[in-house]
Amino acid sequence: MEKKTDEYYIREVLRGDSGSFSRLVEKYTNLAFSLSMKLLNQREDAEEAAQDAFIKAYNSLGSFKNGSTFKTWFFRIVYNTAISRLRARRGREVSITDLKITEWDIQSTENTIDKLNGDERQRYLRIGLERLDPEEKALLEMYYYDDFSMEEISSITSLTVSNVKVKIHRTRRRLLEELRYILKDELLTIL
Amino acid sequence: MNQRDHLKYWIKELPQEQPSPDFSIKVMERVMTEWSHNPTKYQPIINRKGWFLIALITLISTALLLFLHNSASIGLELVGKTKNSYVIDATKFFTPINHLFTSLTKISPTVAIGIFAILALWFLDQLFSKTVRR
Repeated sequence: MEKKTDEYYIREVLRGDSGSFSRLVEKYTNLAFSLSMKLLNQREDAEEAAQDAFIKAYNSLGSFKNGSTFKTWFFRIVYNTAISRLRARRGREVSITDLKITEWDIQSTENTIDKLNGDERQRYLRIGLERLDPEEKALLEMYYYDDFSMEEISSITSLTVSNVKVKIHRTRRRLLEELRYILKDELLTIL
Repeated sequence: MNQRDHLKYWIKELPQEQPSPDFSIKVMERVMTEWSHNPTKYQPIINRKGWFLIALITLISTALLLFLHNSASIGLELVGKTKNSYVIDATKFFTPINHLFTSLTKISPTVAIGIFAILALWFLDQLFSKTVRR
């Protein structure tokens, strides 16, 4: 079947063919759920947030400007919906504390993780990621997993590009710091 | 491979959770509910002004036809009497209609045809709008 652009389906929906929205739902379901999941870390909550985001996008499709891509526009909705849920849930902001990890620590932690087998590495990384602030974790994963550019992340999160860069840099260091402590604890347990 | 590449590789290595299989269905159900609250409104092909214009043109045409009809003094009955025998006798078709309208409202069949044309256009307009909606 011939693949149509997002803009084509948007035009069809705006003309009254709501069924065309299902094409956009199919295309962006995994990404929307994945982003919600990164922020909320609870399956049911993430599904609800992703569904809410689709409905918000459907209702405000008329305000979508062709100047930006639908993907970025829609992800901004997903991000804001999930962030609202997250803030309502935790009711407080997580502040960034001073980081104590040195460059040498980073290098040694990286070498240790690299020597682990795939399953172990995944297990430790998952624990490390869960210890991060969800907003920062989402930024990190958008950059490293979803391959969004700094500019795209800036557009989705409404943060400045320089702020995104700083946050990703800090989060990466924080993750490695967490991994260092997790690995140290594990080593102590073994010994 | 530098530190950034390592982290990218490790994060990409992580298996990602998938939404439930009926996720898209649930979204579309909600979309359809939203749509039913505010269904698409279609504009008629012929708007109010258009209908007034059609009615005006029909009235002018009818008046003009009646005027020409009377000034030429050619009644349908007369046409029927003067034509050749091998031509279909149009009066057999028009005369009963003519009598009906003459006896009831004293209007000519041309007016009836005009009214019928307007009704047919209205009907087609409605039918087309419904087809587009589906």
